[in-house]
Amino acid sequence: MTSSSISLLLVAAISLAAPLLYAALGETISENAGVINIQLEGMMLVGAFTGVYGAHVFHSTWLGFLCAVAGGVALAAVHGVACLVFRANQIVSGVVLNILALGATSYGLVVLLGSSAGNSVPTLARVRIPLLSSIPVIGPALFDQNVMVYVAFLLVPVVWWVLRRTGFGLALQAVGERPQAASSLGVAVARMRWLALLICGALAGLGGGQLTLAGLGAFTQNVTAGRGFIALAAVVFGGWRPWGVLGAILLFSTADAFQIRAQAFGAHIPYQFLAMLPYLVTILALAVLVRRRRAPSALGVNV
Amino acid sequence: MRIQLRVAAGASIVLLALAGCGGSSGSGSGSGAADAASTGKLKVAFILPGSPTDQGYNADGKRSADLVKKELGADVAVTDNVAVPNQADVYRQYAAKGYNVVIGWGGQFTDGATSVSAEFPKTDFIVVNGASENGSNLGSIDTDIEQWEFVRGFAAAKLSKSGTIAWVGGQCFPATAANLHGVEEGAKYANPGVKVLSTFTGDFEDPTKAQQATQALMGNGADVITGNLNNGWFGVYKAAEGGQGVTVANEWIESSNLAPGVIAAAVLKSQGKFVVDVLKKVQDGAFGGKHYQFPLPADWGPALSQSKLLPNDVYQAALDVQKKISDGSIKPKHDETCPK
Repeated sequence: MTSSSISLLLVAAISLAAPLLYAALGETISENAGVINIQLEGMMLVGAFTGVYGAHVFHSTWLGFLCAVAGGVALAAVHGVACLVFRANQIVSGVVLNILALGATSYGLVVLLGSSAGNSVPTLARVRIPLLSSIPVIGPALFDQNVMVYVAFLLVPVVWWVLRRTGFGLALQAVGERPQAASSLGVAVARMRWLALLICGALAGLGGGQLTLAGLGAFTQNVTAGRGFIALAAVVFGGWRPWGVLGAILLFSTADAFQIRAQAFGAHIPYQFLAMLPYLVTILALAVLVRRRRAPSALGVNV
Repeated sequence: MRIQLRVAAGASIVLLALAGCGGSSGSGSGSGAADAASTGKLKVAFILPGSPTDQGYNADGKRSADLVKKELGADVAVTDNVAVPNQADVYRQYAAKGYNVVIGWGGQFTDGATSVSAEFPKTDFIVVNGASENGSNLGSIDTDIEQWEFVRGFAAAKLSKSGTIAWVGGQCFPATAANLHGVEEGAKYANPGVKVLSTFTGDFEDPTKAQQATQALMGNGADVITGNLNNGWFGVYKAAEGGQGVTVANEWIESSNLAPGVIAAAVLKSQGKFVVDVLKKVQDGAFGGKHYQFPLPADWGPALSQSKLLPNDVYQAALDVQKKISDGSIKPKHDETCPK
């Protein structure tokens, strides 16, 4: 591989990472407050759909992103009503909501977008940062992407700071660890969980929007293709910490970008093996490298 | 309050169930076997593995169902998104409802047809792109797909300025391998020095993967992109739009409105006509539970569409090649081997 092909590989890895990062950072916040969202995939999918629909109706990519956020929040709210109000099992609610999201967006595709040319919306242009984007090999990957890629990566330190350095973040983690104790100290447990859940929905919706509004410019049935589950796994692999989550996602997306290029370069490896590679690399690397860290004690436990 | 909540919960469960299930649309809902017998109207059901909105294989299934309705005046029902493990149930339901013919859209629906055809000897079962036959009520339809794809490959190679074309696919199995090798052979016929790069993304539906694969192939010099995908095509278009002078030759029907800036041609290979042909045999009592293999017919019409991006001389040359395939002077090889 030449340095220019490595550079192109990194460009792909970074842009593939962005949608995963939005969803996984949202899930990091929510799980730290004790709410698990198996429907992360569904929230991404709904965001991907409402994003394209919004961009189509309002003729604006940015209003599309806003609609993507609204779509993710809406599905999160259903999860909240089921689990935080009616104390349904969080796993079961999440699984059901994934099925609902797939059915509803497939139906919406036919009814609202039609299935052909009406489904095409403009995508975000790349914003080249002068000087920095000329750094050899890594410059284009880090400094010649669309704005929402930059935002995704800047969110990592922001989420870290909020969780670790603010009273709000500490209260959130207290709710995820010892909800009764937090409650006795005057933390509004239910309100904190709702907030964390809705932030997660907003970010997952953004992640879905990133896929369709920044990447493809169209919605197709099940366009997320399991990326929400990858994000869900990245939260665990990343030890429920933003930097760890970033590492897990970068590892996965780099391996993914590599495997899809390996065939184009004429590597004589069966494509089935290559398709498996990102998952294999991620699991092996994290099993070996990552120090064991336990989940928030009250994760998935309704209070 | 409690009761209202329970009602709401019940309603939402029903809603979830409706939304989650694969869609099913029948033109004659509620009409049973008795109706079919009294009107003498042919009742045909289609079982699709995916979504009719996929712009690909399943869309062609839906299109074929519409053609059957139009040409034969048949009562047609379609169930989409049928998972392979559920096929026997869906076959059985239609057979029990009195449908005369149940058509499985794809070779993966062979097992269900085989077992259910034994249970319902009066119903005919047809597997499209399959090979099964039982001599009575189970048959199949397939095409010599390499004959169509040869024409597309020829045009793609003629269109290429870089001398490198690409083929992007989902998964590799005999039918998709034959597609790839047909394109390859046609391209080599047009230009013996052409390079044909290929990638299987592992997923017909994931446009993001197809977009990545296309970008990588473009990075290796490909300036005409062909392939065999469903929703994945959207990613190919998007990647091609980001290149300079890159064009796409897609499949099934003329659909350059999906990406007018890049789609130059499409290989026209919709299978509806063949389904109608075989259903006519069913109506005439001449079906016989056989496998029907269709080569590219001489009266097919153009096997390639032309957008404004496809120069006329290339288009005409491709149609000449098609003629030679139909009259047997060019014989594309049938090659089902997956690249290693």
